[in-house]
Amino acid sequence: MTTPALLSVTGLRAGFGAQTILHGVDLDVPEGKVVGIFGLNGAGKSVLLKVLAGVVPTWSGSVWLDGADITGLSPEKRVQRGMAHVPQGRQVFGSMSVEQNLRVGAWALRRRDKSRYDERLAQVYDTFPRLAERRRQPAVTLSGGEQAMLAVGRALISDPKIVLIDEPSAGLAPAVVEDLLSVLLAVRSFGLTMLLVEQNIRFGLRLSDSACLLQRGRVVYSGETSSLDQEKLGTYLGVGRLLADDLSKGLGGKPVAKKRARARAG
Amino acid sequence: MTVAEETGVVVAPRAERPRRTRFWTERRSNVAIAVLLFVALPLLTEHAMPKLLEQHHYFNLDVGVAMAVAAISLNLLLGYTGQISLGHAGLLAAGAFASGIMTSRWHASMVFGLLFAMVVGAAVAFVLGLPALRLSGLYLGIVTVIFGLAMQSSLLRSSFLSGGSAGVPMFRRVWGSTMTTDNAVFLVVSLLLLLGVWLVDVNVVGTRLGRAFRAIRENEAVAQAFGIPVTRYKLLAFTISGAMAGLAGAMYGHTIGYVNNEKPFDSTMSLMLVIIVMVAGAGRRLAVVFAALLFWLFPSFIESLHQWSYVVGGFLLMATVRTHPDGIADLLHHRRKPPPAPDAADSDGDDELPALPQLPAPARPIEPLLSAAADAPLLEVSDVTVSFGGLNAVDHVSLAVPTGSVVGLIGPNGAGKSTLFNAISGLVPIGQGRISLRGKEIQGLRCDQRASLGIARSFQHVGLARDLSVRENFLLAQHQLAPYSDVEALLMLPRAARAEAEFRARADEAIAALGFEAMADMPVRNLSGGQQRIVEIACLLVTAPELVLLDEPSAGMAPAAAENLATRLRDLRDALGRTVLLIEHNVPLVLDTCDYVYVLDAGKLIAEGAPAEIAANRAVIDAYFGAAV
Repeated sequence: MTTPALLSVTGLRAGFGAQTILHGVDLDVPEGKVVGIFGLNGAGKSVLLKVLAGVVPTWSGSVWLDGADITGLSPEKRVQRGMAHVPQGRQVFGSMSVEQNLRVGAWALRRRDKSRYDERLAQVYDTFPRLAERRRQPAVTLSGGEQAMLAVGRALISDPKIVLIDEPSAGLAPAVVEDLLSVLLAVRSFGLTMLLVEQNIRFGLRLSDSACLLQRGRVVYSGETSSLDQEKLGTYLGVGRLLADDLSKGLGGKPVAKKRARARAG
Repeated sequence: MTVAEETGVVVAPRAERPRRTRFWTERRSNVAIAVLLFVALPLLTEHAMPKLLEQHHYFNLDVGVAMAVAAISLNLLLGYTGQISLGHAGLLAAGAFASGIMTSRWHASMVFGLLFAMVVGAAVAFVLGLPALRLSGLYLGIVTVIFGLAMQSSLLRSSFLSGGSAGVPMFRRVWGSTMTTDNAVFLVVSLLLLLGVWLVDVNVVGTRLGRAFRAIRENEAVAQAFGIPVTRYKLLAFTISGAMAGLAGAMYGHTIGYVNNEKPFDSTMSLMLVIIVMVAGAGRRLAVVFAALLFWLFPSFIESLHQWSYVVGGFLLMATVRTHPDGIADLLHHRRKPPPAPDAADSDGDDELPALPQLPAPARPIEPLLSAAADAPLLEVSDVTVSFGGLNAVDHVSLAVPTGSVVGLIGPNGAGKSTLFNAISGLVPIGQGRISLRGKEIQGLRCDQRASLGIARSFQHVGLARDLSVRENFLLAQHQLAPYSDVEALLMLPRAARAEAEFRARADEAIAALGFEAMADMPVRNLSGGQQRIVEIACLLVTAPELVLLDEPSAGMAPAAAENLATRLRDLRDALGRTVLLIEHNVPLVLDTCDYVYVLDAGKLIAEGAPAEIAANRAVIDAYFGAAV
């Protein structure tokens, strides 16, 4: 790695009770890049994001953000250091209005610099015009896609160095997923660093520069997204008949169902 | 396929050892502890070991045992079912007075007195349970406090019932004029009664009763969708708890020989019982029994402690709720587990392929329904409207789902798909229209009644009891299939025992198919979101109900699991003749599995047809697919 990574994770172990979920994860997220984490259910993807966000305690290993060790910091301290988290299931504050939700997201920002709040708010409304239209509405009345945008907007407003996003496309209609993808692609083009967990492989691969495949709490592959072929996807993620055609539009390679069967037999 | 041998998931270090059949199951150890306790303790009585203890020590032990029964009673209500009772002493009082009147006024044997106490306790608790059907939490707490105070200040003061403030003497009448005054003998009787209550409680936990109670505590909507009549089971919990409380009150009364409206069943006793259950660990029988014994024995042996017991109790409650909300028992339970072993866990084979989770094949014990007329619609929704505050979430929708088909329901977020599911499964009432299953109108039925007709569903936000283990959720899913009555369950009669064994076998099969053995006894909330989803769908496959409503089953599933889901949906249809209505945003999955697709937008049907037609439909592309197809 030539440039030092913005977020650097080494030997990260974590879990719940007696159950180890992450068995020593190493991960680098370079500045301005989007890294996608993929893996089977229970591989530890969401737990990894939660540990990085400080919501789940670290057992051992270290997490460095922008040259500073943040391993033991509380979630709110991490937000102040420039790390934002878009949790699984979006978790917007349903009874609060859109703008109040964004205001909560700007909590860390306002402590640093009150005058920038209006500017950031305008930028978020600029990126997500739908949120501006609905600024006074309670978040619960928003559609799923709008809630996803609100959750992302709430993370962006604090002007973070890195955003951790957990399954933004889950439960969204295909057209909305496309909208969200184009918004996130736009955000990426501004140079925002992101760490993304996705089950929607097509969505995830189009958004990320490099991919990290997680298997039972260990990193089994990491590299450029463009070097991921269907064989790897089939082997590690079980991408088979349903998705193969779909993905082949974007990726070179052969159908993977047979590869998987062969790998299993061997 | 050898998937069952692999474990395709994050596993605890010790989990990969071959599974041995454990002799010391939880049920067996419970029974063993009970038997030991109750065989050993009577040996300490005066006859076996003369002059071991003084009479007043036996007196204190008698009181302690009575309170242990009371604690089990409250634990059933508060710990399992999640219904707070801050007036439990009122139930004890009812039982005590019942037995007192029986033995002193009607000169009956104490045996009948105790039985009568249970009946009266159960009846009073049943009435007390009625408000619980509408209230919960704080409000139910207030109602039960008022009940306790009302019992104390008015009902028990009436001269008709209790001889006014003079109270009622409690005779330990064996027969005729034969009485037993020996506290040691009464301890044996008390311990046997505690044993009985203990075993009944073990049976409650081991059967569908306990599972229903705990499902209700967690999420009533989910419980209903599993086919549990919430009303009935709440009242049942109150009734069983009341019978136990009545017995406890009578035992207490017969120990002290005399009760009136002030002593000993006052509101502080109610609070103390709540403190005991919360501090020891709500839902943990052994801990609760020990806590009850300790709380009543310590202050009575050490006189100076007595006045401080409530201060200490209150402080303990605060400390427990703050640091270990699940009680001290939970803390001890965690201590027993091995600490995480860093290196042992990290060294297991990295090179082997992860096993793909396999959803269990649809249940075999259930006979196929292929004989049903294949083209008659199983489900017919005609002109159904559901409105929330003037907004029609579902607007004059009609659709037909033929028997033995997989029908898709797609549409943008907020189109009303989940609301329509709620209407079909009975979670929201419909404003107009008809919903019929096999030609029979069901829109007037409750959710659990519809479930018992064969409608089962999954939820957009996983519909499992999250505090229950994976195994318990599989058992819960089979609630409808239980062939035994509640009485059979309480006494664990052969039919109940056989059925439970069968349920367990089926649950084990499903867990093995998923490769989730290592997680089988973990609370579902410890699983990842995708794993929870997989368990939820697997629960539906295990029971293979006639009509399965799936609300975004593949959301959060890895591609491998989604592919497997497609296979299983076809199995349901082709091998068993089951019918599936599927809400899904995974377009390849819908196009691949569905026979027919309906498209909903803003509450209205905008298109219907074969998957290929739908994929080419301009209106649907604009409203839903966008650039995705």
